Amino acid sequence: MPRETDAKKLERYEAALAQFVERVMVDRYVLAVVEEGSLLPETMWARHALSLWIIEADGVTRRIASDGTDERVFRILAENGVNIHAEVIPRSRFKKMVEGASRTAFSHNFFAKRRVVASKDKSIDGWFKKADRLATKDQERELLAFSTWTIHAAIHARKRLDVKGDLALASQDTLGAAHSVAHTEIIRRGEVWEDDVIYRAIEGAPALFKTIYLDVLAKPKNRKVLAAALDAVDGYLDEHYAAHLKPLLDYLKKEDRVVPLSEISDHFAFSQVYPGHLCAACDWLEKKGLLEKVSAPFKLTKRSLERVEEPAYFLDAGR
Amino acid sequence: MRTTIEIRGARENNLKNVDVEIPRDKLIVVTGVSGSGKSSLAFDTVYAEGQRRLLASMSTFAKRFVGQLKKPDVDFVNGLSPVVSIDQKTVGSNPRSTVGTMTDISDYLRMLFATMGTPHCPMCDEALAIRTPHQMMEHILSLPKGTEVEVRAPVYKIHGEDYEFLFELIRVNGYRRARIDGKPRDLGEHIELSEDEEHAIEAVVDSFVVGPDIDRQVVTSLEHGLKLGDGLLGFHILKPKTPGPSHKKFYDGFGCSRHRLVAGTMEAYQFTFNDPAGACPTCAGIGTAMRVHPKLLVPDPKRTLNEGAFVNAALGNSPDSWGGRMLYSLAAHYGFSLDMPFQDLAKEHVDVLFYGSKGQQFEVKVPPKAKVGQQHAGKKIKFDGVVTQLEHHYRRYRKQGMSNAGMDEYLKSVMVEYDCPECGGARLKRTRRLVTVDDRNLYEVGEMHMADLLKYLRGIKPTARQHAIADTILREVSTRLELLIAIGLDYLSLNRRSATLSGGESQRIRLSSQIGSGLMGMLYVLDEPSIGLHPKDNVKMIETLQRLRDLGNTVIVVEHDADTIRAADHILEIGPGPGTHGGKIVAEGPLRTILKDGRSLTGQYLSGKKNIAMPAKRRAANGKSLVVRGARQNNLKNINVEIPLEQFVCITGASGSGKSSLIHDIVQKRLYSLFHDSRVFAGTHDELLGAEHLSDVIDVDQSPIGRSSRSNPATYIGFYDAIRTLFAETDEAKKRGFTASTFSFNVKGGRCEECSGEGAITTQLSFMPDVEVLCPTCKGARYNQDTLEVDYQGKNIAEVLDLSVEEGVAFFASEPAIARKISVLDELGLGYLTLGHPSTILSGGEAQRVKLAGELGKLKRGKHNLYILDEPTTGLHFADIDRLLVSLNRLVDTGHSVVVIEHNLDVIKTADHVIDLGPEGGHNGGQLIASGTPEQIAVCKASHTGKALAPLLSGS
Repeated sequence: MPRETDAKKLERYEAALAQFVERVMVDRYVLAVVEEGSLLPETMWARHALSLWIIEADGVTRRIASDGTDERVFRILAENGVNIHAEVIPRSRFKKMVEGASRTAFSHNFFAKRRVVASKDKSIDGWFKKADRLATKDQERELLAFSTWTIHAAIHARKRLDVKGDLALASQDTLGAAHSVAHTEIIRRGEVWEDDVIYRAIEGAPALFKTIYLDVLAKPKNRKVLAAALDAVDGYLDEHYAAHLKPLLDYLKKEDRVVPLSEISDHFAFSQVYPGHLCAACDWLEKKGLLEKVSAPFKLTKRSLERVEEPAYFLDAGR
Repeated sequence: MRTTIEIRGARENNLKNVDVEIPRDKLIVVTGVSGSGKSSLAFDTVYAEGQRRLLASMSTFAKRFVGQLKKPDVDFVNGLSPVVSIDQKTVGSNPRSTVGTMTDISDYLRMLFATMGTPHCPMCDEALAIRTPHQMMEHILSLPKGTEVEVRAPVYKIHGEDYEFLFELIRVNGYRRARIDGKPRDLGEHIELSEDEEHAIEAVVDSFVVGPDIDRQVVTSLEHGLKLGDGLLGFHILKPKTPGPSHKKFYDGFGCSRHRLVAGTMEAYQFTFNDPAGACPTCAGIGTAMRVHPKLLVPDPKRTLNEGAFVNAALGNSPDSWGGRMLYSLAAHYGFSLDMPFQDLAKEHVDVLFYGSKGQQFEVKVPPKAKVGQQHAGKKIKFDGVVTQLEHHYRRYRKQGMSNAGMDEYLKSVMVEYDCPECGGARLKRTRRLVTVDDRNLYEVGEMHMADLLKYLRGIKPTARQHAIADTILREVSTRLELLIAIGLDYLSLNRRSATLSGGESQRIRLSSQIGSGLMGMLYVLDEPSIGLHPKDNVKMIETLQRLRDLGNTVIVVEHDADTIRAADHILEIGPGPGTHGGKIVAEGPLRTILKDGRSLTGQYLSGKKNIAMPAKRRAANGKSLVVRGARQNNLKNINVEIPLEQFVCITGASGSGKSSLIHDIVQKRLYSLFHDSRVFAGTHDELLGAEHLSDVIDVDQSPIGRSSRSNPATYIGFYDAIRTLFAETDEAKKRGFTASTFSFNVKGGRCEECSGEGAITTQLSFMPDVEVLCPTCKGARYNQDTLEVDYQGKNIAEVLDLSVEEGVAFFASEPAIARKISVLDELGLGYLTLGHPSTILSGGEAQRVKLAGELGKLKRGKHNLYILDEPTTGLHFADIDRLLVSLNRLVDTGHSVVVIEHNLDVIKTADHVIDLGPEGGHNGGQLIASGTPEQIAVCKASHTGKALAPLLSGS
């Protein structure tokens, strides 16, 4: 059977979407339908269903046994032969998703890629419009999260290369660092960090990604190629650390004292910045001479009288 | 119908197979000398069996939640009712428990405020309209279609945190937009605000465009918004920009005229400080915050820093520790010595240690003997200061929302409490404190004394709509208050922490709750409810007991108080002596029968045939005294009090008049801080003079002497070591290579390892109470067989510990050092206790007398101690009081001073000097009424003690 063309498929999906929206918006408990990911010819090849958010009124959620204990409700519907994967979201939770701090998986970019297909609630439209606009603090937090990943990954890759001499695994770790840089680049440009980020990052910084990604993939995996890639990653970090690690630097500057790592981690709790990565980032800053690393006492258990020590860092604001 | 409770074959503890019939629906007093078996009959038999039977009748499901009691040793008990015991146990140290929560009055008042309270605008104090979310929604829908309404929730900074923290909190709650001083701001952006200025912050909860079908959206959003705004929401019309008449009408009767705030309906749980909905966010409802007191960080200022002057957990001095590195580095930088006593350090160096280097950087130096830390050498850092760091730690705990739970024990030990800077001790959130009934908020109502509170409640006039609920609440609260006032607790307030109540006060509160319950057909068993009561208040107590009886209940009271015994319908005297000499019914019947019964020791004292003798001569003052000036702790009214030394002094006065505040909070603590620990803070006063006449202050209180069965009078007083040494010196012990520690059940070697020296094995069962069985290996002896084969004068160590104190005196007659210490216990009426009697089962009075015996056993010439005792007659029969007075006077005769807080007139009349506080309790007390000999007090017209004392002195 000949494969359906992408154009035909698109037509069929668009028709199904329109029919579904017409049907569902009659329901007085459905407030809006949001399309997740645009229907574009170039992306149709991967699609096997429509993806929607259905925003329902509060207090009417229907749960079934297969929902288990998950708060979220996912349904698979069908419209004219097209499967629809829908998440049904109560209005109040949806509002929190949009407006709450980006301490969950959601960021403004997440909403920028969505489209309100139909809505009875003008405020939902308003949230989307406002969510489109980049929140500085949210972007800074995301940059911090990914930059600390990058530092951690680069350090690990460097050790594989220089200490273990394991070229195969070092190349994989280098590619991991490159993906992390790609995410950072996309966020820095204010774009959506989903779906094949690497290709979009390559478009934006071709020279950088040739060295840290394409060459590592295509060229022989030797010390010269990998060292060049990691040097380029280090260079990228050097160039952008002041902006990308801004929340961390601002925090330490404001504290103006020796801050134990556990306190730094607490401050960035819920920001998806892992303590281990924070430690790597702080040590990296220390090597650059921007922080002093000392130690501070730490109580291991609730009842411990003895203290062990943990890393602690001091930023001299005068430097 | 049964008219008696029939007990047959009671053998619990020392009871000797007692048969007795107790009349039902009467007030029965069980009396007898200390240790005679009164509590064994009343509590361990009657109460225990009643409770066990009640529990046995419950379903298996219910039994899971209630521990069962073991069956008392009695053949049978018939005629029991559901039983309630009201003893003297204090209610623990939970800071969230107050008089209000104990009596449930707080629950009613919360309902009252939720029903009748008027909320006020936090900014302009205008009274606010109260609406449900549905009413708010309907009001919004009354606007013309297309109107855009923005709903905002006012939010406030948390004390000690900056605006950034507040913005994060709003964000975490799911709100990104806010109005700051009326201007719209995006909390996703950086916002610079001056922390020194007050800013009006409102979280934008939602905005609605009025139209069909928005009702569902609105209500849930409003409900969430009310949580963030602590029950307040503001409604603002954004479009049209120029509001028309219908828009302006929207605000009529809806919202404060300036700030457009409306209050949501209030619920009772929002007024409790034990729920996050009502609790002050800064102190989490405790009412106090804590701050470090530098004095507590340095227990011994004579120590040097190298010797560990600081509390180790705050700043250690080991060269390998962080603290050691800091000290060494700071000393090098600032030029002070680590070998100089802390008290000799210059002020600026002390300030650096406490409060930090104030922005100045210093180089980290590693101490010469350090094995670790070299990698830090040469780095330049700042130092926060120990006080600053500890307070930072404390704030972190608070931020975690756990109040002080989990906080380091040492952190608590170096901090002092002060009123919460946010709520000022009110414990409630700001918005709850803005709700008033008759112009008073809930905190203010809780501060009133009972009598004032009753007056306030009687003055409340509910509206017609509020009548139905308010009347019930007011009636219930008034009844409870009347009971509390009747029982002599009029000086208490609802906000008073339960932990600060005496045992007697706690008991009376529980008693009033029982009366308030109105139950009939019950059996109540009480333990000395007269404790802590001034004779003038005891009358009210007796009336209360009679009222409980008149409701149709049986009331059994273990008592020694003469007035209570006289008021009883039926008296049971257990005795004749303590311990094995007791356990029998000596006499029973109404008062006239007891008075005539020659076997009744109680009858002899009540009829006057026996009495506690007055001293032939009172000790004259020798010029030495303690003088307290400007005493203002709690209710003390800035009084000056002179306490003569080397005399037997009684402090008297009505309950709550300030006796404990004066003697414990001021005198005892001040002297303790001078002699032992300067970190102890005394109550508010100007000065205490005369301490140079004393060597020490010893508080002989009723707290347990030990918390496990491994502690007993022998270990506490210290002759257990001497006994063990005697055993170790026997030939048999030497042959076996035993040392003194072999004969200890607290260390491995000679003890039974099956039970680890406990003598019993405790098994926890799911559906039954913990079962304690005799150790099958040592059969309760606590020692292994090898050890038990060594004997001293024909008895092994287990048998010696089983000797009663009385028997011990004779057994150790040839060892004067041991015999002397044991005989003091006997002199204090504790002859019935065994030498190995576990301290966990000593009563408060017994524990106090063991402590007294310990002190008497180590009297030294040349020392002049001040002994403080609080109601030492607790648990003592008239005959026991005689013995106690002999011991107390012995202390004075050897050059010490004794101060006793007492209500017992037989003790007061024997004092050399009496200090009477009053005239009443609480805010009506705190004054010095009279000071002098008992005769001088008796003629003082203003003194209630004098009035009660006069007949006794003239009769003598």
